Amino acid sequence: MGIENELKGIFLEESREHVASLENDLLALEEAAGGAADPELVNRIFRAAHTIKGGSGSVGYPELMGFTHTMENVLDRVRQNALAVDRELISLLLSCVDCIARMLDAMDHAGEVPSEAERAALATRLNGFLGGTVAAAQAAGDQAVAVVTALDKGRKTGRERCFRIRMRLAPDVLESGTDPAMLLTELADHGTLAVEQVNLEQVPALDAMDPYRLYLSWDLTLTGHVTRDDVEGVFIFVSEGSHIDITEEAPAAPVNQNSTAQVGALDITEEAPAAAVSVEAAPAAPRAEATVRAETAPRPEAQGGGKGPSSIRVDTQRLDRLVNLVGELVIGQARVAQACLKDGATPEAIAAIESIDRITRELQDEAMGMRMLPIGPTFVQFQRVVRDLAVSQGKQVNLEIKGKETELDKSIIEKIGDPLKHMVRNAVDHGLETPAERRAAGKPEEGTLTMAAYHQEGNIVIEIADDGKGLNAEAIAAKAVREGVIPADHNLSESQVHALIFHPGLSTAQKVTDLSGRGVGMDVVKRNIEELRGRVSIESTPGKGTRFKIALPLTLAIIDGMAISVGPQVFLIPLLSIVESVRPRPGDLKSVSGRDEWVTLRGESLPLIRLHEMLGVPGKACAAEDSLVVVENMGRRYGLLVNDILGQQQVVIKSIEQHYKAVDGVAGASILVDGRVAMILDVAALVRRAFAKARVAC
Amino acid sequence: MSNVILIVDDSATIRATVKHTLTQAGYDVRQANDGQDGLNQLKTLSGTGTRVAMIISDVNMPVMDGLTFIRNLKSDATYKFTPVLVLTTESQDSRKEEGKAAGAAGWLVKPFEPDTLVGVVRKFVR
Repeated sequence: MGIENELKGIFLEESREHVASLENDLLALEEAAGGAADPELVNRIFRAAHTIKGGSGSVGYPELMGFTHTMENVLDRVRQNALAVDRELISLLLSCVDCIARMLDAMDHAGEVPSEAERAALATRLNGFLGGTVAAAQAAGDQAVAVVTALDKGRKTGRERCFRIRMRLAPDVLESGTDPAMLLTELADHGTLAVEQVNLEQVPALDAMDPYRLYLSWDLTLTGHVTRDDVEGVFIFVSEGSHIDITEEAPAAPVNQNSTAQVGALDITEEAPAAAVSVEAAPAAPRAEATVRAETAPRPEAQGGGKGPSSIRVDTQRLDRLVNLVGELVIGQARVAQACLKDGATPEAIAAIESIDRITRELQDEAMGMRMLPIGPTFVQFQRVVRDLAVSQGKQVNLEIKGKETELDKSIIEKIGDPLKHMVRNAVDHGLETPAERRAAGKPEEGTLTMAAYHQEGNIVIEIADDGKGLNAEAIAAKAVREGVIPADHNLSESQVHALIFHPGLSTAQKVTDLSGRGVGMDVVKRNIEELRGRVSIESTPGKGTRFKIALPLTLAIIDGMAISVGPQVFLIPLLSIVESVRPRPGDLKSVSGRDEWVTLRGESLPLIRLHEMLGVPGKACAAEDSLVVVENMGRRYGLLVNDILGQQQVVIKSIEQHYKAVDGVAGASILVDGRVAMILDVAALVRRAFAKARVAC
Repeated sequence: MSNVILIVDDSATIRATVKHTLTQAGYDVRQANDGQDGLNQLKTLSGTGTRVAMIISDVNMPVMDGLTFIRNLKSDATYKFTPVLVLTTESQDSRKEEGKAAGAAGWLVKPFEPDTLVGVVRKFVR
């Protein structure tokens, strides 16, 4: 990778972080508006824009630099309290941040560059906030650029010229880090430098001498292909207390060669008059002291403790491979253990196996942990979504975020964003009422939307809860009947009716808004979550609000499964889907019209799926006296009839899709502890398949 | 003569650019994220006997800004005479004046051409 690409990569990564922080900080600023804005917050916003601007200049992206420059001007005024923050300004700045994000994407070859017209329109609106100060600020900018480019300008001209330079530096010039010897050296770069005179009249007596002050001044002539800009450029940083007079002379015949000293950094002390030698040591003295101090300074106690990077970047594919290998190691280790214990191992061998077992498990935990990321940033990005939605619908919504630090598998984090966004939109759109409606219902005008994440029973649970009007079960049921999804004489419980909102094509919104009514419904949300091997459930109370709970596995790489046998084959059912396992009595199984089968469990009738039929497994059919695994999908329970339940196992998931092709009803494959291969069943897909023609939707 | 230069900037892009440019010009470049990190790095460097010949610092940084950083340096006998170059994208002259007042030896406006950076650094360290 070339250095330019590398710099570009660094720039993109850094700028995207700044874009994310800008968005959040602007929202925080809006919240604080009216009261006194935290100066550090304003400064952070300014700095983020400023850093993007600086970086874009460095990687050669003038359009972005110009754009952020205008934004920075406005932010600078906010920083100086010369501009009040209001909703209009925040909205404009947020649009600018979006524009920057798209410009970054375009640089990364993802998406179109925002058009010049669009950028210009935003810039014009920004300038509107600046008023008359624009021109002045811009002029100052141009001027500054001109000063620096003066350094580059004035390269060799044809004619040889001669400048007489009187160099009277401020006595305290050394403190700024300016070394007179370096100035002489730099002048000498431009031509032939002659020291006409070193003035010693300011040099005090030795006992009165301050080694940190400069007592010397110089009269010089510089001859060569040199311009006035060149000479002035040498002194560009010399402080105010200094007097540098530069006068051009007609090129004279070279002066007495003997008095011409070719000046180098070290030559000065050697060629200067004897009296100056001791004085010239002055600038060098502090340096010497610095060196000595450095050498005698004690070494830091924790060598290497504070320096060097504390983290490194690793390709996620390598992490996946590591997790996979560790998974195989766990299985291999279990097989070794089983084989040894069966043949009667010695106590030492058993102790060794146990120790390896412990280490492998720790190794597995560590490897899994590397893929885990906190959910915080995913949640925080919704502040913007919620704000924009609320503003566009005239609602007041406060987003509360809990459990930011809860960690999830990286691949789950990447895929959960879309379903969450849809649910958040739904909550603001349909769940929360307008301020007037809320007031009428005796609630505070501002609605609360809560996003929370926490651990529960070995899963990660993400909750999206609103304190809105709740689901209208009657309206949902009526619509479902109208659409022919359920029969008019349905006998569904309230929670089963609620679950109908995940049915394709059912939407109870009275009117289609521009945000939620985009044709992507809750059925897609449900399917996305199922693809992550998660489950979604609803709790809703009329007038009080709705709570969606998404249960997700800790990781996608391994799964806790129940091994079951169907004929000669072994399958795994994800533990997350299982409610209980029972051995039914023969009389519990009933058939309706010879086709659909039901099993009665503690008075409740569950649809029955005979797995051997469903999966087309040859051999002994599952009978009523075998085992029943009760699974749950979308608030409904089903009975899966299997031959035997073999026990719970943690297994590493291997993708079938990657090596063969996607198989409906099968989530993946795994190698069991005894070395056999087992398919992992996808309960949601199985249920869909079994009842595809049934009237009751799942 | 030491050729070690410390770049203090919160922008990874700027740090990488400066490091690349100056490394190619033969300097040994070390990096710090902000003023406080800069002071820590200098302490570590002096602990290992490395003398820093020049410091290039951004002005507006989190944790410790550039001006405070420079004032800290100037009150420390070890770095009192070490030239500090202020990096700024702020074109207002006031920033440069503040930098100078704090004790900076010079300034450079971002973005800069690699040659300009090398030219300015060569004014102080060769």
